[in-house]
Amino acid sequence: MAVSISVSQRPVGRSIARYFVLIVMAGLILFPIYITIVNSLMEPTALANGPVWWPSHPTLSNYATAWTNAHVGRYLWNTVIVAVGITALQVSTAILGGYAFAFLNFPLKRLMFVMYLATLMIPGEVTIIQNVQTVHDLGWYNSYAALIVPFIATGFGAFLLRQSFLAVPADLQDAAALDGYGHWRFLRRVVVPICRPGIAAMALFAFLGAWNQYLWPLLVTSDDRYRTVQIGLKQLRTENLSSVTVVFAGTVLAFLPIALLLLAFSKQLVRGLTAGAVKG
Amino acid sequence: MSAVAFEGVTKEFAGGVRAVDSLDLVIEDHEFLVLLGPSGCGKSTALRMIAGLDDPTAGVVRIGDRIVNDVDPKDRDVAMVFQSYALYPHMTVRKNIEFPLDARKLPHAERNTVVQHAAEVLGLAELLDRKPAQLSGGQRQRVALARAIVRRPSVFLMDEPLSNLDAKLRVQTRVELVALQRSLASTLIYVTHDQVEAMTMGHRIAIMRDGMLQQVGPPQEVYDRPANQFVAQFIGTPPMNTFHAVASARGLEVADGAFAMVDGWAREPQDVIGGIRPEHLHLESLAREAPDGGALVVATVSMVEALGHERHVHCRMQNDDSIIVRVAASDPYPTTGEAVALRADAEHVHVFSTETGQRVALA
Repeated sequence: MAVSISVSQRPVGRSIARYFVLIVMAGLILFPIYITIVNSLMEPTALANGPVWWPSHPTLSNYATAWTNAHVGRYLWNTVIVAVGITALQVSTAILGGYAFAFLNFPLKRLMFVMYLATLMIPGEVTIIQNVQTVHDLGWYNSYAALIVPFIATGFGAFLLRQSFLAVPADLQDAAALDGYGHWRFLRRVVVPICRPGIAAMALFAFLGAWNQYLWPLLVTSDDRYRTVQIGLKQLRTENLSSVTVVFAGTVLAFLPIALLLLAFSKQLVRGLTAGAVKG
Repeated sequence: MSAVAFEGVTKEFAGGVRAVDSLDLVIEDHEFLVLLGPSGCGKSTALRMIAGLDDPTAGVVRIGDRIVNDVDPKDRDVAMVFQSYALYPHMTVRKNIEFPLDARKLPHAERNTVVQHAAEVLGLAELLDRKPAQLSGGQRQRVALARAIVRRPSVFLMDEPLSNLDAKLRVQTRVELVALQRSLASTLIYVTHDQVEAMTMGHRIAIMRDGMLQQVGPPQEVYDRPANQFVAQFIGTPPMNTFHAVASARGLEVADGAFAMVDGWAREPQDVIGGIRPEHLHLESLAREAPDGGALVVATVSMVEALGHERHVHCRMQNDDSIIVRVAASDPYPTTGEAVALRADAEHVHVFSTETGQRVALA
């Protein structure tokens, strides 16, 4: 009896401690988001004495101002186009690159793979000036092409999907070859469906990266018609210092789509990251 | 016509590893041939070369009248069952079976009939809407078989298809596979390292070692007249006893004793490797002469294993070589440490060369 009590009590105590730590950490992470949302619902005048902790007379007027006057709607739309475009193209090239490295044998395969990986070691800032120059030379300054095309292929994507594809048993490729399926159909009918979690995780990473871009869009656009939401927010802060509540509303509008996306796909994200780490 | 032939086929992998070495082998139309050997002997590579999944480095592979060295796997009219079954995990059983037909653009109605028929033959009709993960090992194996038979290929290739099944299911599936091959009337080439499967299933066995073919023949012939020491020891449980001996007019001499040989040894006495299967050895009392006037060999019992239906008496002969004697469970048996006399059935004594390990003809 005594044994069973001590055995059952210890995990409970440990769980309480674990949950306490988790709740504190979650609170630390969520607090800024909470303050942002609360203050975005206040009249600009209500913040004269610093931020409020609880909305007394909530209003959505800041959102209307941010959406129309500060063009946040336009910036969001641009960001959606850019992020969706980058994600779709990056996933396509990563699937093809990952497939080649996982399933094909060709000369200098190892060397090429190392070169792919090497691109991950080079910080984007190192090449950014040359890339901006290229975009100017191509006449793409202030265009969606400038925002999307430089990101349609990444070493990281091909690497991530190669790892995911390597988990597909070689026997399946042999079986498909005997069944009359060439590379293209094997990729479409077998590899992509089996590796869906890995591809979804890769797509989510691509989307997050594209959505949160700041420096590149700043350098290749000056026209509001092409600027993305992160730059819009910065502009909002510079232009609306008097009404910080509008800035808060714009910030909420900028992170809302990505927060919803993360909530919807969190399971795939975790599964994709741990895929291959454990069997099955 | 779906005979399969290897003509001087060699397969060398990167790094100079020679998996198959100058293989010459003809598998007749409608034959059930078992490729047998220890792991790494090249049997699976040989099978993959028939399928077109590996290309020969040298030599010619024929299916029927065609040389298929440069023919795509899908155009060879062969189907293969893999050790892992290679089922597509994201598809239902129906989709898995249908997959090869899909690639061949078979009309929908015909496809359904073929799938339904294959499912019924293999007892899968109830499982068509399940995914592979929801099936037992035996059921998965049947799905793999169904996927192979729907194509009606002229040659079936099977790579250790029973090795992932438990012992009881393996025996049952063995019987079913033999029946299936008979009903399909196709050529079947079956790779295994399990000599029981080889003995019970195939019309002929081809035994390989280190990429080289050791012997081809009907199971009983391979068992009774192994071509070399390797084959002798690979086939049979427990394996054939082999030991150092001198072949002379007395028979196979071991220390002071000798095992009688049916035709004697007409040549000069010579060092050889003797071979006698455990069931062809008998325990005699030390005091008695051999009943047929033949010679005896003295040994000491080192261990007795009881298997229920029989006992394996492990003995050590005076030349320090060990030897196993099979004794029926109902027969008297000695105790550990006891000295015994061994007698062999003279017609079942084998002689192998000490240099090459090849069988030495006695006559």
